[in-house]
Amino acid sequence: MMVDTSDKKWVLRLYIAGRTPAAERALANIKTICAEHLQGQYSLEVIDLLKSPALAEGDQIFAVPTLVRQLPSPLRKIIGDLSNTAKVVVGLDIQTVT
Amino acid sequence: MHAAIFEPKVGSLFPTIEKAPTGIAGLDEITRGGLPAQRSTLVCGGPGCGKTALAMEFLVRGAQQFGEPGLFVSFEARPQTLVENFRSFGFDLDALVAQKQPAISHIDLSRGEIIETGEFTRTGLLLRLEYGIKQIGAARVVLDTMETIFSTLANNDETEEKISSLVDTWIALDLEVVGDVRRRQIYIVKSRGMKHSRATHELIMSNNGLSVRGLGLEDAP
Repeated sequence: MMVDTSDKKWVLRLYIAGRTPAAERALANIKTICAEHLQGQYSLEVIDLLKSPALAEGDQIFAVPTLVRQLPSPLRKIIGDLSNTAKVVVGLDIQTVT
Repeated sequence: MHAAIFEPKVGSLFPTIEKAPTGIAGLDEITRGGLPAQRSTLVCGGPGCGKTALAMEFLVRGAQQFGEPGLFVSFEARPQTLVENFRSFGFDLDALVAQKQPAISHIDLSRGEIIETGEFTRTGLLLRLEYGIKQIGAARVVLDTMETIFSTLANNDETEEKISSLVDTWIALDLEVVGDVRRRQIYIVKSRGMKHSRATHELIMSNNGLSVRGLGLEDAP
């Protein structure tokens, strides 16, 4: 068995502004990445700034979509539709559990 | 609301432009009544010229004297830093900001830890501005500084010239340091469809805020 890293939790937030094509792509991409690399070790919250504009301040969001890694710290931000999976995996600092 | 109306002479080329008075002594004279309401004004100048002071006083006086709520959007200084900087300036900004007169919103555009992948828009920034404005019903909005917005968000070919073409009024500030003496100057570069002084005036910074002097010396009609 590999070293167990399953106690590590990834808390992710995806900020979008309406269900735009880029937002849909970002959501699909992050879901795929999480399913592949973080099975059972993550929570993903989608925040629509059209509905909750006040929430943009806390994480200092100016671009959408923005994916924020709340945990593990430090906080990381990835902006864009997350189409480059390798970049997202590196950015989130995900070690694949095999 | 309480904005003055600039009344042109009959047959004037200048249409009636609604003004938002600044309440800053001398500035309303050289702008013939204040800054054009519902329009954008660019204030430019190097560090220490008084850009932030001018903008903040426009909002403070706007709220106090003209009943127009103001939003100060700071892309650089944090609200606490702004409040501290204005202590020596005759404004109890702590108390004013606590009552959201003006409101300060800090938008951190620093790109330190941000990774980019794929298509994105700056809608988040616009939504934050819109939210800040709606929250207090802001009639006056300051963005400090435009440089931060353009250097972090824009393409490289977007120059100051391009920004200036977007604004109706363009005010230049200048700082001259001779020994211990700091002399500040103010000059209205252009103001679309509005009469204004074409002279360079002195901008005085005191513990009662700003004032503009040298009026009527070289004023163009």
